Amino acid sequence: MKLPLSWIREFVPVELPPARLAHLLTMAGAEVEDLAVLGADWEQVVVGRVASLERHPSLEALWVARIELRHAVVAVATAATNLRVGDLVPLVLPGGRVGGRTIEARDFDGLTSQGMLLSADELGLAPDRQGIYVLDVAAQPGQPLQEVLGEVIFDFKITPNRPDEMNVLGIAREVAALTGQPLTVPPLEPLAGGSPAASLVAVEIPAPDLCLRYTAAVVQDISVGPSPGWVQRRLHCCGVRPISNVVDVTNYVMLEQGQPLHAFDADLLAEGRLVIRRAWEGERIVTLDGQGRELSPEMLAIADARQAQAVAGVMGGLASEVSERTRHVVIESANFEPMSIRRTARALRLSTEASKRFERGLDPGQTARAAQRATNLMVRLAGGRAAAGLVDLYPTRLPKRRIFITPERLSTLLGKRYAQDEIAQVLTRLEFEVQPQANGLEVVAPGHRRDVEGPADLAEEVARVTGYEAIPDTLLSGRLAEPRPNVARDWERRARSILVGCGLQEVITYSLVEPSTPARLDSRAPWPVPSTVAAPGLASPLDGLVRVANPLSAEQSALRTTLLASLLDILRANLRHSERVAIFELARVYLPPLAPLPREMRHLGIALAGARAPRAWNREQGELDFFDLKGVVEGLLRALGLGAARFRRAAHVSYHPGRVAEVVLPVAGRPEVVLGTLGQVHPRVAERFDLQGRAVFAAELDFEALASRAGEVGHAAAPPRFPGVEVDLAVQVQEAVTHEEVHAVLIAAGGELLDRAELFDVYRGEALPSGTKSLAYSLTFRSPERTLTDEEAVEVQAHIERELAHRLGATIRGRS
Amino acid sequence: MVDVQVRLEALRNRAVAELRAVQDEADLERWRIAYLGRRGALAEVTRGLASAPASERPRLGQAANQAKQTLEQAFAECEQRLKVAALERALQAERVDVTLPGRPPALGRLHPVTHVMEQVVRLFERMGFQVAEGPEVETDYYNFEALNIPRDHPARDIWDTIYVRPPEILLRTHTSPVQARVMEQQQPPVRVVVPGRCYRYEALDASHEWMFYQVEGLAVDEGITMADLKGTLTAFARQMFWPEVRTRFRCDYFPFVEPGVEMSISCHACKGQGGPCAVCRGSGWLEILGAGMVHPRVLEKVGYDSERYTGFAFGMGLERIAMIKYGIEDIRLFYSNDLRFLQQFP
Ligand SMILES: [Zn+2]
Repeated sequence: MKLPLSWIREFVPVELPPARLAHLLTMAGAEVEDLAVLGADWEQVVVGRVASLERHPSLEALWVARIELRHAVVAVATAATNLRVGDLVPLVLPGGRVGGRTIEARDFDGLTSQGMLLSADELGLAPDRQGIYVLDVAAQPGQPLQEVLGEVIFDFKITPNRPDEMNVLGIAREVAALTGQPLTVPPLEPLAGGSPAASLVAVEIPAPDLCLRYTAAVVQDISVGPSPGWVQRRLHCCGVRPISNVVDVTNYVMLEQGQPLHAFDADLLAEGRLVIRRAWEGERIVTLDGQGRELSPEMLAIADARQAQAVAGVMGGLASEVSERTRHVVIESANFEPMSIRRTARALRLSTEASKRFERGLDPGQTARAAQRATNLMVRLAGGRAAAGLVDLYPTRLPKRRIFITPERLSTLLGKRYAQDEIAQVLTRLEFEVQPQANGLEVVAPGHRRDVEGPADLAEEVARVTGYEAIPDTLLSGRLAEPRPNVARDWERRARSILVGCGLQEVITYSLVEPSTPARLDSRAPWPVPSTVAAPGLASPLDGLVRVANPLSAEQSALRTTLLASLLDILRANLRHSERVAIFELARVYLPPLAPLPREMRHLGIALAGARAPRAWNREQGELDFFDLKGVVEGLLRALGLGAARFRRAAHVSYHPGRVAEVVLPVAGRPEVVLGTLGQVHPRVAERFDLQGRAVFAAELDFEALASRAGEVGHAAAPPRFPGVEVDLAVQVQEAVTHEEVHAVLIAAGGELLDRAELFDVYRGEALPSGTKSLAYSLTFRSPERTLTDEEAVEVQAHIERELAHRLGATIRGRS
Repeated sequence: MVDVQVRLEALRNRAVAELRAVQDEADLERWRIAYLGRRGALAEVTRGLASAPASERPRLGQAANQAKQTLEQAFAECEQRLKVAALERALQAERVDVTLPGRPPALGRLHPVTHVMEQVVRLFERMGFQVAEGPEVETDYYNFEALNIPRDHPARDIWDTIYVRPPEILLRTHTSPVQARVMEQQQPPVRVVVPGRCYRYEALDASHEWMFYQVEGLAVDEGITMADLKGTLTAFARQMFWPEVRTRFRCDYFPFVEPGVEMSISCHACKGQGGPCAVCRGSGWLEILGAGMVHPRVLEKVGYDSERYTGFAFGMGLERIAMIKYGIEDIRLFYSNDLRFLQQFP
């Protein structure tokens, strides 16, 4: 909201430097977002008086004006036709600048024009490009124009709780309270002499729940035309387009007093009646912006005897618009129920200066004053006669809210003790009614402060006016709640640090994805998918995702159920410039159905591609493979105390069928828990992410399941005290036999004396019959109670070998 | 007999002199054979003792023994000297160019937003706050109603909302809904911080993201004041940013607090001087977070006695904190996840 300082100064004689005043207001809550100076870009722009005017001797369309300055008279050529001798006009002298361009003396067929006369548009005063701007204020010839018409313009960001500040008077009131300067509101001229307003317009309010007060004034025999310069300049400073004197008056008074007004052409109101009623179902109106709109009974209409003539508090109707032909005007100054105005404005998608003010809650007490001010001003600008008095219906009076406050209450809230006198003084300056009581103050907020409801609001008034810097800084003391466990979060931290330690970079990706993501990740599904439309908020059976109702884009319109797609996108983007990409994300997925909220589950996603290690001058480069990924997952599981988890061959539509495993956790006495999946991304899926030809590895784990079963070591073991016997054993088995099966036999057959059995080599080759492989294990035999003899070890080993042969058909290729 | 003495003397001198010139083990071995060997010079002299008179023999024998000891000691010293020299040579030969780059381990890092989030959370944990969490897909009730933002309230314009199933289900626009969720679960004292993702219906540009992280804070008990709010958040700012940082509180409006304030910190670029500073655009201050005393109506909605309990709440955007801390000028860098950007953080 832009307001010129000069207008504010009409009500409060503040002399602070503008930046200082802006700071004061900002700290107190009326934030000045920008402070602009109108005329800051005027250089060598002065006021001149037109001393004479004559046609250019040879150029037909031009006039030569002799412009009187302080000590000189200069000749200036102009094509404008609106000048008269004696006019005060803005002139930019040669070498001067305006609107970012430099003006030089210029020759017009023998006549040297000593500068250029300027229009309102060129000066940035008003949108008017027609003719030269003629000053309507007193000024000395030669005086810099900046001194006369320059303005300091404050651009305010007013918070929604302070509609009373959305105008000049409201800001002036605030300035007065903050600076201690007096607020002066010029007296209004009485409305007397004409016909009684009530005889000219009849108002009735069948919907008093939506209209607290309706005040109308009438002005007769006006002549509609442009507003004078000072009105246009002020409106322009505030970003409001001047239209006509009648409309400009309504806008001017709204900017000045905060009361939205509307002017009807009185002759166009059927039967001279205004009926403040709910709109009929399907009732139509063409609003001032030329749009046809359909109303509903939730909306309040200002109607005449026949039809809606305005959408109350939002916008007037075209049918009764003021035009050049208008002779009599009805000025509406009303107060409407805020929420109804907001609902209407939203339903019509029509947010206006009026609706923005009404929906925030205005003072019903101000309508008469605003109507009177507008009437005075209209008579001054558009001539005519004001009807006597106002039509003023005030069916709903807001109750006066009495708030009791004590200095103690304030100090329990603010942590600083304010004297009762000081509190009373601050509130009085803000126009609150303050009644000292035995042990406190009884306070009634002024009508324009509908936001003030209780002691906390009064505390804010005192704190913001006296300044928050006056409140001390203290640290919290007192009771603490018992620590609440947050197991998932603790394990989340641990998991992050392990993965970072494994050389993975954490990423954070968007929660919303394309609805086609499940199909894109399904190697069997057709791609691209035929487009489908799902109802908002419903999981479509096709994609199984929760959609958002008002997405910012189609690419981000569904809540993800997997992290995989997001990670593959990031992988691809980074592989353009990095030879090794190893990333992870720990984030939520959102699982349908909405009941009423989706199930939010923490997932851990990992994706790897490219070189195994950063390139180095002294290292062989290898490519990441399945076992790099598995190693990371195993390491993580072990660190989370989940070393018992198993990996087994699995089927998953996103992965290479031969290189995908499921991670499962055996649970004693209950079904095992599936922790997630890992594998090489299916080449067809990879291709859909522009990763064709690349070996990409990914894992996605259910972190809720991980965290709920993760745990610390229960009982820590000391290192073994007795030496072990180490033996290597190469076991030849059929290709189909897995390491896990061999290992299980080793462990079972080794019994208590087998301390460790670690695979160290897998061999396939010419030395072996085809269809077989050799798995080499390093076995450690050890007794916790004594030093084992070689004979004992040999005995156990022999048993292991028999069992391997018996259970798996294994041949022992070698031992050592 | 003098003859033997003299010969021994000469022999010793010659041997010691020669030993000084010995440079490697082969020379040393030759020397050993020449002087100390079975057929060496010393043995030869010793053999000559046999022809000496018996009375002289003990003395001469002793002299010969001394000479032998001297030579053996000299030998041992020389051997040691050669070993040291040999090791020295070997080490010299193994010299590397220490300016060559090391073999880099694969280093991962936390995302800067996680990093900042952990810092913020840790700081508040030290002041007795516990971490709470809540759903990202929220109901209108917790996101707005419980926070004193009724439907059709103009304050709703502050939060452009992404809806899942309008008007009830939405993506939370702030972490504040967890305030009511926590208070419904426990009685005062309450001291929690709530980190998490939030969403707004906002077009993406250099300073706006539609997805972002907030940390919410809430402290409720008897006797908690605005002074505690100021002190706690100022202590936070000093530790989070730099020790000399100054804070400034100004009146602001959020429907769920009253009084409501906005906290700024002094600009690090211009030391709070403002002027032509591009970082703070001349104001000398950087807005960091919104805060205030919990609105009595918010307390009443969860069944707390608003006459008895007071509290403060605050909320900050982590991207903004990270941007100020690390001088990041474009918010889009966070979630485009370019590793070249991400890998520069601690
Ligand atoms: Zn600065």
